[in-house]
Amino acid sequence: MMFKYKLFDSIGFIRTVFLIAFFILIFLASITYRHIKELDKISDSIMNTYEISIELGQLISYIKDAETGHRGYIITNDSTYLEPFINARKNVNLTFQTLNNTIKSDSIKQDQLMRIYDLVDKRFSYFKNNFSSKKEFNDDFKNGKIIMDSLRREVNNMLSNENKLLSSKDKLYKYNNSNTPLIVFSTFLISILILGLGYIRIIKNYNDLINQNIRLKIFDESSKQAEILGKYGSWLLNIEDKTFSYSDNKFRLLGCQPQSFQANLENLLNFIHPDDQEIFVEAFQEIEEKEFLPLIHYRIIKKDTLEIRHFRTTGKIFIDRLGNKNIIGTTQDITEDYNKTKLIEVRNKELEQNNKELMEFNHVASHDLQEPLRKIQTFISRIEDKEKEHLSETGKSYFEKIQEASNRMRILIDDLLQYSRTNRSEKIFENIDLNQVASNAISELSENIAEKKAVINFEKLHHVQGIQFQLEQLFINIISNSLKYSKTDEAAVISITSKKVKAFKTPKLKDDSKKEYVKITFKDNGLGFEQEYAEKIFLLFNRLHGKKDYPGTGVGLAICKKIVENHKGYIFAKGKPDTGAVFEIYLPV
Amino acid sequence: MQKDFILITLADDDEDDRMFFTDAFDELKINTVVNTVNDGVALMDFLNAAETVLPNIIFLDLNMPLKSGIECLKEIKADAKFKDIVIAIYSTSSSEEDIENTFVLGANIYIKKPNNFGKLKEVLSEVVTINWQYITSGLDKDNFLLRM
Repeated sequence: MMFKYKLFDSIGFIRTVFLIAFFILIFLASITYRHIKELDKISDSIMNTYEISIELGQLISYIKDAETGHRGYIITNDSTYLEPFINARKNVNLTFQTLNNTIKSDSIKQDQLMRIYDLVDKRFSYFKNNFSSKKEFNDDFKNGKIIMDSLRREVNNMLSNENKLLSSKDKLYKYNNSNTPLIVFSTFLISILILGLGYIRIIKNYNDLINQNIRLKIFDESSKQAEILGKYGSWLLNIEDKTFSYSDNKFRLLGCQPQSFQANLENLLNFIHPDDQEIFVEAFQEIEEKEFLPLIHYRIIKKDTLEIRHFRTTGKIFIDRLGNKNIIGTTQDITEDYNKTKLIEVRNKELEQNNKELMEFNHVASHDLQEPLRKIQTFISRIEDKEKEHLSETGKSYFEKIQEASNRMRILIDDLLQYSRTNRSEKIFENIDLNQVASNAISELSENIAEKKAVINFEKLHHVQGIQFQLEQLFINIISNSLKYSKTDEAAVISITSKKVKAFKTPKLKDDSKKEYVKITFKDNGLGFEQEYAEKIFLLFNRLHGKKDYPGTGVGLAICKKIVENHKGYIFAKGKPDTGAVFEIYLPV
Repeated sequence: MQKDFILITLADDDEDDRMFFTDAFDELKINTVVNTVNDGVALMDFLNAAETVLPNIIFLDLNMPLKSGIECLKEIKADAKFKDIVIAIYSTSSSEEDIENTFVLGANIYIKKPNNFGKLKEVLSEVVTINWQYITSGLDKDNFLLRM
């Protein structure tokens, strides 16, 4: 969207730049045209003036030729001198004609020219070939000179008028156009600048477009790869003509060569599993009013391998810039997921069944087995009270064995019951003060502790999220385990400490998160054990010692492990024979 | 005369348990009249019979055919004429669920069948000698399960 907006903005900018440049050029053209027109006019009038001055010079020189010829004739009386005189008269007339043509639009100049013409005429009237007297000759000569002088004056006058006119025109032109070159030059510079800006912007946009194009190509390529890897294909449905455009992988999913046919609803139905065609058709019929395709799940039969695959497809409306309505959709082959889910469902059912059976077994073990055992024990107690003295010594010893065995069975059943209850009880986590837990456990075990003369130290334990009675059971089991395996010749000393640790700083938790745990350490000075048994001791019914030396069922520490797991924690044991054991428990804060 | 005896009824389908029960009371020197029934249906028939003198304490096993102890407990508690009878649950199980359920339904005490005859006598004597008249209200769940 951002990109689109910028591009439109850019197009507006370029359009403005070129419009401005266009108007500047029109302005420049009109200025230049006007300027040239004026120059043309000026040059016309310069030519005019130039012609006039040449012709006027010519005129004087013709008259001078006439005078010279005339004089030569008068002095020599040779008629050949008259030839230039006669030619001069012709030439003067021609010159006048030319001048007249040149200045015919100007009445003032014409008046001047008429005066000159009159003077020339007068001058020629004094060119006589016969003089009656010397006086007449002298007068003529004198008058001729006077007229010639005034002719010169008149001609000079006219020439100077022409020059004045020219210079005034020049001044006006200069005045009018002195700024023009600057204006033209500067507007030209501005338009070059503007065009330059436009050019830079166009190049930049072009480069942007190229970059976008490259990115699009990369994206296109990566989405093609993703489609193959993710087993999905994309498609575009033109709502008007009901045709589909498929991505290459969509064809592959159907078991066809990419772009091998033009997809439409009819030929697609050939692929759809007969039982699912209705779903498919209905969904696509509703597209138009709903303007989206809800997630549908259907099966297809692959064209090449004829295997049934599970597809999932969905789509959304997309309106392009021309207002065409299309549905853009994605279809995924979910056969593997589907099969896995099916498998998980089956496994889950099996598990549920197993669990149920286990629960029933548990019930039988803990409840139904208790009943006969209780009776056996009650009868044993009755025999002990009333009938024992009637038994022989062997009978008495057998009877005691029966008593022991039944007691042991009682303990086993009770422990088993407790173990299974650890699993089943409700898991409501509260903020638990471990100091309280430790005190409760110690008071529960007070008799045992007194008997062993044991010392149990703990101070300032942390709080954890947990289940109070389970944590108490945990403490009781671990402490009683230590008491049980304490040395006979040394008072048992058990210390309980706690500290907070981070998961990722404790490699044995195999948890890289920043989760915080409270590490509770129980350390005793008892018999300890070989480190190789460190994991075995937590297994149900697993014992490291003979029943005779240390009675027990091997359930206590298994319960501890179960409780710790219920709390999503960890328990580890470290042991060294004859030195002691250390139990480390990590519970989430 | 009857006032000097505590009338006790035990509903239990197990023959041996009934025997232990009556034997225990025989050995205890307490003035009791013990009467046993074999299942829940028999218990309710006995209680509802016109000629029956209602017992002071009923010991009720939970696991019985035809009608369970829980069903009997509900019926007894629903009927006002049985309101003075003390109900002692007498079961092999001591599951939290059973204890919770019977407590909520209004039983007075919960006894887990002991596995020693001597213990049985102790428990029964304790229950029978409690002066129930003073403990009719303010039942405490912590004291509900009889611990010996």
